[in-house]
Amino acid sequence: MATLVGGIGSSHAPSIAFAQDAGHQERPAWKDFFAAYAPVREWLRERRVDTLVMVYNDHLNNFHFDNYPAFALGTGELHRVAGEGKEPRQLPPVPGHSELAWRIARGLVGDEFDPSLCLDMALDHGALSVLPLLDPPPWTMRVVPVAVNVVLDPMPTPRRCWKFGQSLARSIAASPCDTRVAVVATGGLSHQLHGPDFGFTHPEWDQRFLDLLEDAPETLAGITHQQLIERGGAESVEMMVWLAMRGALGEARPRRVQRHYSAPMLTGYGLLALESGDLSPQDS
Amino acid sequence: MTPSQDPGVAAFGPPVALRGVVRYGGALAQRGYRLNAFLVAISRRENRAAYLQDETAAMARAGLSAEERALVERRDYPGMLAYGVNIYAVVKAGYVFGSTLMEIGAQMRGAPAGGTV
Repeated sequence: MATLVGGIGSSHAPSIAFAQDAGHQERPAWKDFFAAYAPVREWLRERRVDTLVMVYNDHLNNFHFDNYPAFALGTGELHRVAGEGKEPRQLPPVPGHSELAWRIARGLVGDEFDPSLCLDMALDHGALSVLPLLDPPPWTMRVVPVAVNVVLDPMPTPRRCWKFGQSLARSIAASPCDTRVAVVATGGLSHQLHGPDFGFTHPEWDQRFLDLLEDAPETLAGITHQQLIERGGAESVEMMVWLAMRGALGEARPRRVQRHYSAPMLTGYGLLALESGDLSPQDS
Repeated sequence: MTPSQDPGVAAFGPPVALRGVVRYGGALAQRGYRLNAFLVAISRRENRAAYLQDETAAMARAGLSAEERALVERRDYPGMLAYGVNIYAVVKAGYVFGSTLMEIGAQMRGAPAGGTV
């Protein structure tokens, strides 16, 4: 049986990928940001997590508007590294977990979620600005990617993301794969990338969002796209993806492993790692 | 239920008035589809150099309208967004044209198109 150990929410951004590749980890502007991920890596190691189900959004790198899926599941054994309009980053292709992915697909469809099934996917910074912070290459973990439409209206609601996470957890738990899983959600936090308020961030809202995600996730799941946009900026609507991670953690109160926040540039950078409250002592 | 009766809204805190927010989809996305696809296509590694060698020919091959061609020639990023190009296609095209996200953002905050910021 697969074991769901916990969940991680993290902002994704091209700037994070750039700082990694340029070796800015020790610079004053970035030191605290990168250091915040060390306890999360330690926890993943201690809990022997070998597979990450990464819920994120693509930025017109794998999916295009000729056919834009609401939810898309990557079932391949190896995921490509997207070029994103530049030379691709010097990262090795990312190992998938095909058996688990197909089990998850069956579980989701049984729950009346119908993801697009993607036998071949390229991952962009939505996944790959975060993955090296959790599992520095060469990769030791496997990744099952789940892309969510947060770009083209009408998009799934925040509550749909919450329920998707619940279904994801059931599907993982029902899988016979001998694997230990964390659900990772990436996106946000506050940012606004168009119009005269380009560059807007809202740290107070970001912190409130993290509070609600930890303590009152069902209340947060009732938020609308418009309410998200009116607090965090238009592109911050992707914060709803974090509800999939929280929805996967079950009824029992999760244990906080790490929480960190900073807003140095165009995006509020948040990190929240939670151990599932349902994790039994023999599982930990 | 009106927003004021919804217990969630109080929990979310007050909204902020942001200018120029566009919900991307529907008629806007439909109008921008061709230009959007063009900008994504030229950002692909195998197409970048050919595009920059002869922009006019590439735009003609893609069947862009005069209005679409003018937006591209002017590197008018706010104009592209208003026309129906998605922000992430603008960012990708910006790499081809040598514009950083910060420069694109400066245009949106009021700096003129076509010049360096």
